[in-house]
Amino acid sequence: MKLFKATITALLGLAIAMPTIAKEDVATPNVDQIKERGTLRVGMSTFVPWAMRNKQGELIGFEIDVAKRLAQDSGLKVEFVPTAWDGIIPALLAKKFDVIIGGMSVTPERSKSVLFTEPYSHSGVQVAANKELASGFSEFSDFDSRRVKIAARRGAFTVQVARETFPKAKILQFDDDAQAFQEVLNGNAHAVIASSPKPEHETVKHSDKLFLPFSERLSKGNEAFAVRLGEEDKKAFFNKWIEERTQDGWLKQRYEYWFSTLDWQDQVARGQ
Amino acid sequence: MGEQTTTRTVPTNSNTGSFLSRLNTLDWVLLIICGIGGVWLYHRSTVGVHYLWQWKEAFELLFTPRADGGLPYFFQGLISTLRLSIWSISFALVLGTLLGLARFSRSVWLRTPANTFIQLVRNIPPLVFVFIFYFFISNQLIPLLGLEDILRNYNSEPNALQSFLFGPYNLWENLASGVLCVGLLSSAYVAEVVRAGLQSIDQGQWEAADSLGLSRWVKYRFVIAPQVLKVITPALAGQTISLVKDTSIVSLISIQEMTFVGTEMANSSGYIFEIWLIVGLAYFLICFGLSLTFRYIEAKSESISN
Repeated sequence: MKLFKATITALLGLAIAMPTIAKEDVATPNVDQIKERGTLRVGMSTFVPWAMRNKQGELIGFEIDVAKRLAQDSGLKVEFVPTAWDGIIPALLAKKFDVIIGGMSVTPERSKSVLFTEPYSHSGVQVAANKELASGFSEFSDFDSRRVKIAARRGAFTVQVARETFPKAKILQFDDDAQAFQEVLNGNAHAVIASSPKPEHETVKHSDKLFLPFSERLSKGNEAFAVRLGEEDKKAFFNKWIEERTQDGWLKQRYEYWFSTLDWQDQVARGQ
Repeated sequence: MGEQTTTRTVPTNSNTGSFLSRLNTLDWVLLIICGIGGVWLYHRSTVGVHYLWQWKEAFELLFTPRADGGLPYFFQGLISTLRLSIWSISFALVLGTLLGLARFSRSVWLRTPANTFIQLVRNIPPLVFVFIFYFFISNQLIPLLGLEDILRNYNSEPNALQSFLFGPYNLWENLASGVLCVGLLSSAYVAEVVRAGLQSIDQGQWEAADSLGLSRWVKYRFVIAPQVLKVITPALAGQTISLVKDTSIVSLISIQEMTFVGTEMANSSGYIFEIWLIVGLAYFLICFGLSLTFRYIEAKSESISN
């Protein structure tokens, strides 16, 4: 009996101790590597107002704020690696940087090649239409026709939303949002689909040419950091930070600043 | 040698009579057609394209210095394009000459690998080559050469000469990938030019050099090389200009040169057409400058040999 008690106690003790031991022993090779270097390398792509160049050519934007704060909280320096959007996932896999903080929406396809953290922002997709070509259009079905052309940024989440919402329409893909909007302004496409708040902003700027056919946003995207598959320790490290900054409202406040106000617009050159 | 190589030179405009008096009716008709075409294009660009041209603002943006008082962002891109071009052409000339010699060699062991490389590079589109190279080869090659530690984790301050030659140190790896990529791409074409140049030398020249008992080095250095150089200069000049333009392809693998900088600036500011036209003009000026330089060099060497 004595032996039984001792065994049980020992086993219980072990069971209690196990998680703590395990926790201390969890290897974080990928995070350690960054800490050893002292610099967090962040891959991003120019995409107003997520990340852009101000008049002096310095990087500003929502992503830039997020990455800087993340580095500051972790006691690291930050180094931005501007990357062409088309090649941003291959570049991550080729270890050109540690993490993508680039307004990347979580999609099942992308999840096959990268590991997403918890989302840190939630953006939507909106449509701006040409007043002449699409006059009177107010339903999804109005745009879902073979004769309708919809412009979008190549490789972006918006293309996928456009395909799902308007399967019959012809999707014209451009290298960046500016070209896609220009195509609609020129009257070569009926509508353009892009991440909010760009369509709203453009409609205000070109109120004689553009209008918003739908009052609701089409889809709610979830943007997350992306790391390489298998780097669970990094994911946990970033998740912890995202949770803390979501809790104290900092992420929401920065998002509001970049997406809902135009206070930052005097920092950048204002073209089309 | 004088009689053998009486090359025809491009007829230069003889300045007899004023420019207007030398135009005939057909010239006038063609000029008017060109003029109408130009006016129509301008008309289309104002009516067909709803675009607000903001040249003044675009130029202001171009010349705004960095926050730390450094060179404006656009000019940093321009300089890195020049840096990339110079290093790539040096690399391509050395490697291309070696490949060309190997291709010309009698040994199968030299000829076959050189031939394989040249055919492989010449027969796939540059863009595909750039992607394959960057994501598969450069990734293996740079750690293999031990460059990774030097390039990525270089912590001491680079001296003035180093930053003049290679730019800011956090972009060294970036530059190295770009130079390797563009250099390898171009070396295949340089190799073919060199091989064609070697083949164009008359058999008699080789035999003459051999019968004089010249050593291999002396034969190549004093008999073959001067003749080859003269033949291949125009082709090499073309290749150099083409290389400068090819550097724009590597913007897709995020080498931060002029095209990449142009993309970022156009997207951030919205002066899309202005920025792209300026980028185009900058490439034109570099390449046209090179054309004029090479024309001058050719004319010089022509007058010396005659």
